Amino acid sequence: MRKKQNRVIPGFGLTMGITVTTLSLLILLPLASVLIRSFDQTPAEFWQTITRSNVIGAFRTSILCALLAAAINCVFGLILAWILVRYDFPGKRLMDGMIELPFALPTAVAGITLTKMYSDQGVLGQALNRIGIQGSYTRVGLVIALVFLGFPFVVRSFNPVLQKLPPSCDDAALTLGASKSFTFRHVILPELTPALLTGFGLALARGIGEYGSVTYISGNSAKNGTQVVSYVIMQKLNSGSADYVGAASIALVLLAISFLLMFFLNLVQWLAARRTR
Amino acid sequence: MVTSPWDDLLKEGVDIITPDPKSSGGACWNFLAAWYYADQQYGGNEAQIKEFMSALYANVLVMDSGARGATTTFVENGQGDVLIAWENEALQTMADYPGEYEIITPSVSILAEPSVAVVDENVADHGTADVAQAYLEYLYTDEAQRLIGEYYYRPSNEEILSEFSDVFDLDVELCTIDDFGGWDEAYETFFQDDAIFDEIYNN
Repeated sequence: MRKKQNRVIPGFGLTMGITVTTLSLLILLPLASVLIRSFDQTPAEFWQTITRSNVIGAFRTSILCALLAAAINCVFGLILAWILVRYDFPGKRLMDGMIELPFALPTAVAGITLTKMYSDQGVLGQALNRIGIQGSYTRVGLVIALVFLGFPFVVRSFNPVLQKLPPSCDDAALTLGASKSFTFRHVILPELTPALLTGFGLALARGIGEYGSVTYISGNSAKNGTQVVSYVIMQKLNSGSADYVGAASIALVLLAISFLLMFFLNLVQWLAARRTR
Repeated sequence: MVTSPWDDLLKEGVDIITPDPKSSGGACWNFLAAWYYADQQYGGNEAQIKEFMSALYANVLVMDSGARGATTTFVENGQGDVLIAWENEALQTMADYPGEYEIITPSVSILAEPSVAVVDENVADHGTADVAQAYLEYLYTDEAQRLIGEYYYRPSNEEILSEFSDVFDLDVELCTIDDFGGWDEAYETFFQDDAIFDEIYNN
């Protein structure tokens, strides 16, 4: 064990105390209140609320679309991060700066804009229509919105890792006789895996909980399977009698599922890190 | 049987835009207006009313979370053939996009009158009792009533309403929320989980 005076920031007790307090006030307490709210009913009522067909359908839609969007982001995010790190071209700084824009834009604005662009009257929607795909008011539109929102997470997760991976690494592998695909799979990919999982996890979490943009682009149809969980929660809150308990129950299940997914991703990341060490 | 514009909504191939009654107040008004029409048409036969409502909602193309969202979907994004809308939003859209749309006033509809009230405790807290009271009273003056009419809301003052007879169709028969026993009862009967809306929409 190192001596205490070697540490840059002194006072483990103090810093830990601040951390625990902030975490409690900002994260744990609000989450606990969701938990407590959903206890204002019998287990049977809770079960009935969360197993209604529209709720289960919404969970399926939210999770599937968020998974798909995160996966799409990983592919295109890697390509974009790669060209930003490995190549120089005019407008590179500008492109680099634009990546965070989806964070800055209010999600409702993003939703309304994307809906208009991808509706069958919109510029991009018409193009999609020509190949038989309907954009807005379908799951396709939903995934498009989630890709838009999750993109920065993935690019920014890859960025620093790629910067630390000099081109000489893959050059070395190539001079030692490895094929290009072998180099990618065994030299580049292992280095990227933790960043890939982090970016995937962040984009997934963002997608599962998203409300603002998807309510505009999805059409919110229980029949077409485009209602997301956050919409069903808002339905409960917006209805005349404001069903807080029902909303909290669904939110609790959403939290549990998100936590399990994140836990699983972290576990994979931890195992991967241990293997490369 | 006399047909009404409501019946036209049921025709095959008609795409309707109306928001989701489980999330939007405006959508509840739309639903209740249609229900009231069907109730009259079928002499209160609930099975037939539900069949009518089922057919109506089967034609709904996009269900937005709110009335304004539905207007955006219809007007900006060009979805659907018919928008069931607040009268004031419909008239506003006509003014904004002259010649592009047509308003069809149904024979029967519902009078949507959101409440205006001075909340004693709140005005006492903010020390604004006088101005709040004055504002409330002002809303019912001739000047304010005319202003309200100019923004396409129906003035509650009958005399001033008649000044706007070229704007509003004054022949439409209007029911009110009291015909449904008030909002609490209406929510319970129609919009709660497993109530009538779920029944007619999911089947």
